[in-house]
Amino acid sequence: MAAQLIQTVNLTRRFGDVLAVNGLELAVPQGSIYAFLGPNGAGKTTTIRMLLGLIRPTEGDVHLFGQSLRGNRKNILRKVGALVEGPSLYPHLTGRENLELTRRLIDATTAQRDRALHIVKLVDAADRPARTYSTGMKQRLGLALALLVDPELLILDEPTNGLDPAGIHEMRDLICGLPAQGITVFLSSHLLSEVEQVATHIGIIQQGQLRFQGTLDELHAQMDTQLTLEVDQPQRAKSVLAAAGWQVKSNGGHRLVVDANNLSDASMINAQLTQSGINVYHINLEQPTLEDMFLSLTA
Amino acid sequence: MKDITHALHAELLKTKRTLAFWLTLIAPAVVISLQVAMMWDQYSYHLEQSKLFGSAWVFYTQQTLVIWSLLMLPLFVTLETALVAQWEHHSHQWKHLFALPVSRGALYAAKYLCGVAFIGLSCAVLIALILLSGLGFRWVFPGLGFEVAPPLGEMALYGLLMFLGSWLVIAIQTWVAQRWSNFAVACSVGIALTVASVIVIQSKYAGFYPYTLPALVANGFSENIGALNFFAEGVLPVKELLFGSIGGLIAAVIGGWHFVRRDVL
Ligand SMILES: Nc1ncnc2c1ncn2[C@@H]1O[C@H](COP(=O)(O)OP(=O)(O)O)[C@@H](O)[C@H]1O
Ligand SMILES: [Mg+2]
Repeated sequence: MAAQLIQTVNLTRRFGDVLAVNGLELAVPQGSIYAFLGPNGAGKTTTIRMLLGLIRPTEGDVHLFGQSLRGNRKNILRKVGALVEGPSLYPHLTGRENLELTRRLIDATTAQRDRALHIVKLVDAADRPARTYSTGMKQRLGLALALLVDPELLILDEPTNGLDPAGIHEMRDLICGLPAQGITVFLSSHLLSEVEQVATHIGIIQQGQLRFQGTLDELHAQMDTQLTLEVDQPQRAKSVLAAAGWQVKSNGGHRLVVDANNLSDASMINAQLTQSGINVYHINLEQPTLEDMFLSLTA
Repeated sequence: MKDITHALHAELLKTKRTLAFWLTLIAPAVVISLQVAMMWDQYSYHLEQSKLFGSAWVFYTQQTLVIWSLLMLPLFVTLETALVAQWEHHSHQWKHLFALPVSRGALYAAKYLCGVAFIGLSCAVLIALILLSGLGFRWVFPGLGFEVAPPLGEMALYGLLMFLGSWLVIAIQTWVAQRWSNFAVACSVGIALTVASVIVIQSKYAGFYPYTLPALVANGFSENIGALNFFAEGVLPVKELLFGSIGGLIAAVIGGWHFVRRDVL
């Protein structure tokens, strides 16, 4: 088994009757940007809180860097930066002072503090009270807090939540640059569109259960392409194709939808129909988008 | 241990520009202002009592400490610990703090010690203001007895004992304020238990009730209910002093032990 930075075993958490996280088996490889996707209430934040030891699993275990979180909390957290559900900022302190607080707690250097400010582009605003910051700036300061420990693993819970498009873009750029610095990123989102450009790996969670886990290519490979046809004799066409072994769906109109993989399937289908004397008006091979896939997995 | 030093160092920065810090100066100033204003009204009463006590300074100090330690101090502890806790609750700090590679016990201890430091500071300010106002009385009320040198050692001792006796209340209120994020919960608990102490202090259970301890220790009600100035009798309320101070440290450890085991939601 390849070295996984995050590995959970049967990770489960109940809140009373609610099974918030159910038998999760996460495997996050080193050096990846792992997007943890799921609709609101799917169990993303609950999972992240368990990864950080903020709440205890009802069942199962968390292993970070190959070590169990139980009993190695401090050693592990030395290498982990986190931003959970919005930044933890003292509004009456300046950006730099907010970082200084955490710096004192973890005994980092002032150079590390100023480097974190630099990475998130807050040097100019560093000496203003955090209460005067925009949502995007607050979120970036939260990211700076997470970067202060010089993490090998960064865990971000919905880092783009509440940001405007420019803020989302900026955050995305920041995150993209992290693996080059040797940082593995685990980030959650309820929107695929926000992470599909940055993620190397994807985990999809719904109602506490993992529906998919793998690379983006693996997700693409799982997706069935479809051939849409418009023909003059839909009923006959349907039986001809079914007899040839294709999966055909029809809505009763002139349109047929056939499960097909590629263009050669498409031309083969076209040939079979014309040989049977059926006119084909329209033929189109459709690749469902990741969004379609995500929606069908989490519907 | 190193974690505690770091955590305290961080707390120090946090108090900058905060109401909680300024209140440690304002609250004693308010009490002293009241005392000064009352002096015009109570001049002859003061003259009489000062003779009984044998010292205008001792009576004035004791009278101020009664007001402060019985009512103001527990309420002030309530307010300060609630304000300190609000910094954390309001900005959702615990999820950040407890995900840091720092001992959770040290983080909680720093909060408790921050409360202790605020109360200590306010007690010191109170004693200093008693001294200042007493010196002022020399000019405003000549003949009241403030001309003699103030008993500095005794005054400092009163202040110190009262401070030590408050550690248990600080531990209880710190835990309540950190445990429940709602400001109103901590305030209601503190106010209700302080008001109850006014009744409890007249009973024989006074020495077992945390919120009366600062008053008992500062004023010595314990040995002789109603009689001020136990120092004149040479009696130190050791039991109450230990209960209030060491008991406070033990309560803080128990509170912290519970707090760091909770889910951070
Ligand atoms: N403190 C809590 N008490 C009770 N139920 C909770 C609590 N926190 C989360 N839940 C429930 O657990 C489920 C997952 O929540 P959460 O992890 O916050 O989802 P997400 O972050 O994916 O939006 C939801 O059904 C939510 O209502
Ligand atoms: Mg969430």
